[in-house]
Amino acid sequence: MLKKAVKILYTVLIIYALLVATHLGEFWPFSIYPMFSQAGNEWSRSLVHEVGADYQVEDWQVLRSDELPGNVFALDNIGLNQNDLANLIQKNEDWSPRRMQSIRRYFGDYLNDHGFVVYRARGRFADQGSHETVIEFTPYFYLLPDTTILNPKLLDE
Amino acid sequence: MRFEGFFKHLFQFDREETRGGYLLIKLVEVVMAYQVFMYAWSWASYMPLLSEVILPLGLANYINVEFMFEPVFAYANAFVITVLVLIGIIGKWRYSYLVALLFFHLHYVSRYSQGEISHGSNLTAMVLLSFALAYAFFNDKSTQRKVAFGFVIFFTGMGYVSAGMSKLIGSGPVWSDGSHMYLWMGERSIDRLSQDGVFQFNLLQELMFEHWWLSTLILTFGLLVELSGFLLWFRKTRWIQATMLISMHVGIVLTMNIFFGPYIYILLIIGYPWDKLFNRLLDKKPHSELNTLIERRMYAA
Repeated sequence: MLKKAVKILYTVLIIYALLVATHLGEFWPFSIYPMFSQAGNEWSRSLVHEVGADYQVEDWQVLRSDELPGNVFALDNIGLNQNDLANLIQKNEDWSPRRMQSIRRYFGDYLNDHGFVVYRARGRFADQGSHETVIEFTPYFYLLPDTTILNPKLLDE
Repeated sequence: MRFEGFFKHLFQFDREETRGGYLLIKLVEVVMAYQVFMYAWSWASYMPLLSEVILPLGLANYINVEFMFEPVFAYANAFVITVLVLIGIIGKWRYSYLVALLFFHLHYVSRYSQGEISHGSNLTAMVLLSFALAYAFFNDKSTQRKVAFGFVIFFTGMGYVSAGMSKLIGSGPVWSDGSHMYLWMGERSIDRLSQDGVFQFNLLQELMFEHWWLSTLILTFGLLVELSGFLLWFRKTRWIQATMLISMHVGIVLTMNIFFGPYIYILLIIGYPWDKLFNRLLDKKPHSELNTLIERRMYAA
């Protein structure tokens, strides 16, 4: 009985190790649990600001939080999980019309009469060796009722 | 066999199963099932919002799971998982948990196909796997329960040690430098602001920003507690380690606004000798209907 249980345990551990080793540390529910293991690195998230439906896109400057136009739009309004949008902004490399259409779909009917700016928020230490942190916001795209305007730098990349 | 003493201690085959012990493992099973249901249905309701796979995980690397974004498939899968887990609980089919885990995996890789790698549900699924293996490979009911509990304890402890090791490998001992927390608190402030529309740092967070040593102390505590996860494997240290881990999770809520509820609930159950308390309560009325029911279930073939 004991031998059998131990044999099963070892077998699971071997399968566990093989799967996480060949899938970048994640094969749910097997994981090496790497969350927050990279300390001190710059981070990247997302933030959506609501602007008028007739908002005039001016420029693509990097801004501080007090310079952002409009108001924060809570993703709870559309039932979207922040992690999904933040990861999409961070990891996505395909900014094709199809992908943008997928993103517009998140906002559903809200896009009929609202305009949104989706920012990539980046946090880092102000200077090397400093404890002070800064957060900067890069506009990634504007979602307006009848159009999507992408930051041209994304297309260049 | 190597580590025989350790495994004997882990599985406790030489200890007679008590009514309290039976109740405890059933409680673990019921809580696990509840968590599976919660995930299955909440993910099903979220999936129709998605339209394409952005970062494939697990099986999604090999099959296109975009069909799961159709409400009918998302809800059908949640239904199948629910039924299979219910069959597992009542013990009607020994492989039901194993099959449920496969469908649960499909559910997870569909829901988390947008770039986020969530770890909130890993422990729940590892508990499901523990029961699945015990029921599939052992015939005797009492043995199944002891094996399942041993696996749950082992995988829970291993997960925390792995999390601690990942931090040491990823950043070294300087991981616990308090200024790192400032970056994470900033990151989480944007997450909460984006999700809820409002955010304000709490008193503890303000104090941590003010006092680097406090932030360092809290991170050091978290790292040491994770690295000590193996102490869950031993009966004498289990309750101490469970208390430390629960404290760490409360700390994560207060400092980073991340609530690992399912982990806390499972630790609350497996971390303490509730079986002794249950035995004492059951002994007060030895001829009660509950006692009879438990004994009938314990010795059922």
